[in-house]
Amino acid sequence: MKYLKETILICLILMVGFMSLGCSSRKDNENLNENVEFEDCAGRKITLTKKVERIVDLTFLEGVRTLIELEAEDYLVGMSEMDHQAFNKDGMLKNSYLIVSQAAPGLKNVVNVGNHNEINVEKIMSLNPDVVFVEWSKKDYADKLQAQINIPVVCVGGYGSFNYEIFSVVGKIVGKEDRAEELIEYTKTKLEAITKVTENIPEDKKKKIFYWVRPYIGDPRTNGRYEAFELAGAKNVARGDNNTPYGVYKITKEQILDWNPDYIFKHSSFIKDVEGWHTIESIKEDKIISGTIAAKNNCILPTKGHMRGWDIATEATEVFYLAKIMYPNKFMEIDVEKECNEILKKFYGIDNLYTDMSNKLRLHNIK
Amino acid sequence: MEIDIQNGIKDYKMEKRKKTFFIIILIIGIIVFGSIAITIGPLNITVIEVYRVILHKILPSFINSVDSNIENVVWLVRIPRILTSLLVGFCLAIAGAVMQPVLRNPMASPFTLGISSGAGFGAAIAIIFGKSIAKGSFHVIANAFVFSLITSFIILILSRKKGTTPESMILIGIALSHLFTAGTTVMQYFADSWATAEVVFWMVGSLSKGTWETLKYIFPVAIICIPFLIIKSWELNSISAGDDAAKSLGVNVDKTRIILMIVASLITATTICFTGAIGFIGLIAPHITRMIGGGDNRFVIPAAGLVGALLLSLSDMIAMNILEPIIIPIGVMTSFTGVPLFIFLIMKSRRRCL
Repeated sequence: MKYLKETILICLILMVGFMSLGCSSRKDNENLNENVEFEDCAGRKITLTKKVERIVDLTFLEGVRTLIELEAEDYLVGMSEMDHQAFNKDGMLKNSYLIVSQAAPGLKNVVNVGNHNEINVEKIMSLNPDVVFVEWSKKDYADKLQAQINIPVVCVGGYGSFNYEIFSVVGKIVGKEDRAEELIEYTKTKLEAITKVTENIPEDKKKKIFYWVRPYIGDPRTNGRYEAFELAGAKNVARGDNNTPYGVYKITKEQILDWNPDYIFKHSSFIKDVEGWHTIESIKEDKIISGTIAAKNNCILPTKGHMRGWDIATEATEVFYLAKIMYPNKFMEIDVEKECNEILKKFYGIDNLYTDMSNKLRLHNIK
Repeated sequence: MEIDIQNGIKDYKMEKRKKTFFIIILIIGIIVFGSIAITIGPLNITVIEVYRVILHKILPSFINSVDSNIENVVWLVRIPRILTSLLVGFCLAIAGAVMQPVLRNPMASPFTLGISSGAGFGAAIAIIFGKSIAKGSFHVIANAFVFSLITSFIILILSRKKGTTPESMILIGIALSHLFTAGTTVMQYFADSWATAEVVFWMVGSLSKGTWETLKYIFPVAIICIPFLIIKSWELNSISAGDDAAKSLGVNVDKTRIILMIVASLITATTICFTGAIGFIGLIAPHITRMIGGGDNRFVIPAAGLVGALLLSLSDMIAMNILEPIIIPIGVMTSFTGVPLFIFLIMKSRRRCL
């Protein structure tokens, strides 16, 4: 009792001291000399007032993948349940081949902030991020979340295989603009090796392909908008006019026969086939499909396809793979495995990643 | 008085003729529709080629076939799909036609009683977790079948405890519908996008799985259950008049109600496990039939089946061709085609009353 007042005073001083330390360590997180302003992938104006070192990702792997490719994965302090599954291979993803888990297995320990549809806002704030990534299509959600947590929320991603904007935006955020530019230019240069040839193939000489997404043989579906096919010099039979839907849609087997594609490419993003899906052999044996040119010429083949968003790196490798299959004589000098391993090493920094991927996905062996 | 009796008999005969005429018109309509539908599709096949394929199958020694691709498309794709849509529409409509008087509720149908939701829940387990009592291409079908029957059994078991009143059955059904829908939603919530999309595809229904193999399963169940239901239609008429009235006529109301629900559920489970949840047919086909021909279940049950068959196959033809090559989900199309017709008939029947 005698020393009560002094004890209280000392405790108060210590408390204020600790709090000041906390404040000063936040200050050490550096305010920028001048704000960084840009537009995100949804056209929203973003202003960054301090250097970004802590990112929470709520995209469907788009943001995580881009950070890995820009060599900025260490900035990731939190990710959504769906991203978390990709590294921990839980549930539905255990049979899929996700390159990010090969390239950055250490990310499995990044904090899970909940389902990306209903994120745990408090959990996000407890991680003290500088920026939060959300999917490019969720503009309104991004605005609401930003207003709620008072932290910049950036929409990243975009529809389409070769949407380079994501690199520019994320590169600017993490201060890796040079690396972003390097990857963009590298991809364009690499793809030119294919497109300089395929652009000159007359329309009527282009191979007609059918992209069989999720091969339930009695219930076919396809995607009419997958750039890799076009760049490889193919004509996607399901790509009608500008009203072709984005995403997967159903058609009949009779329609496939009517289109009579030269090639049928079965979507193969899984190491093991999903229960109920059909194999290439069973597709070949189907009485309707066997009437197509593709079946008669033994041109029903696997292709990686898109999985969990659009990865510029793997889709670039897919362009090489498809072009070599469809036009072997035009690309005789191209060693697909060598080129693709080089591409994936450029993006992910790992040797022989394409060889590993194509073996596990049982892609067609091209020499 | 004799004149009144004579007039009464005359009216009764006219009514019977009208109902018979209606059924004949429906049968002719189905035959005509099927004959046209079989000639429509993306592949350029002439009408002659289509019928040559059919005749070749019936009389192979007398009629030569056509190109094998055409034969395969007509025989393996178009015909089974049309037959499946007719049979499924027939079955779902009859199931609804039975459930409505049994439960004395005009909104009763496989959908409102949670049978479709139960099937969807089972399908979702198979799609999202890969867990099923069957393997291969039957893994979703088996789960959907089992869970739709589980729903029916829960309704029956619980309602027996409370007394098999229509009110208790329908309330339990509605509660189960919500429960299974919530369960499916939770699974989708945590599922990957492709699995979620697959569940959605299942929930909106599809006749793409209409093959001879599918018909091998649905047809025997239909051929046993539907005649049974038609035979029981007299008892159904009694129950519609009220439990006391039925009991006074010697009908064991509780037992009849349970048996009819089991049979109707079995037909429903057998069809929707292959096609997914196709709504509205089981609800509106019986009502359309009653508006035209009255409430006698001896007429309503077969006629509603024919109405349902025509409605579903017409919806399927539109769904396949309106945005060709894209197929609109059949569950959506049945609502788009059925609702305007239903409202038109309601308005017409109300004006008559006035």
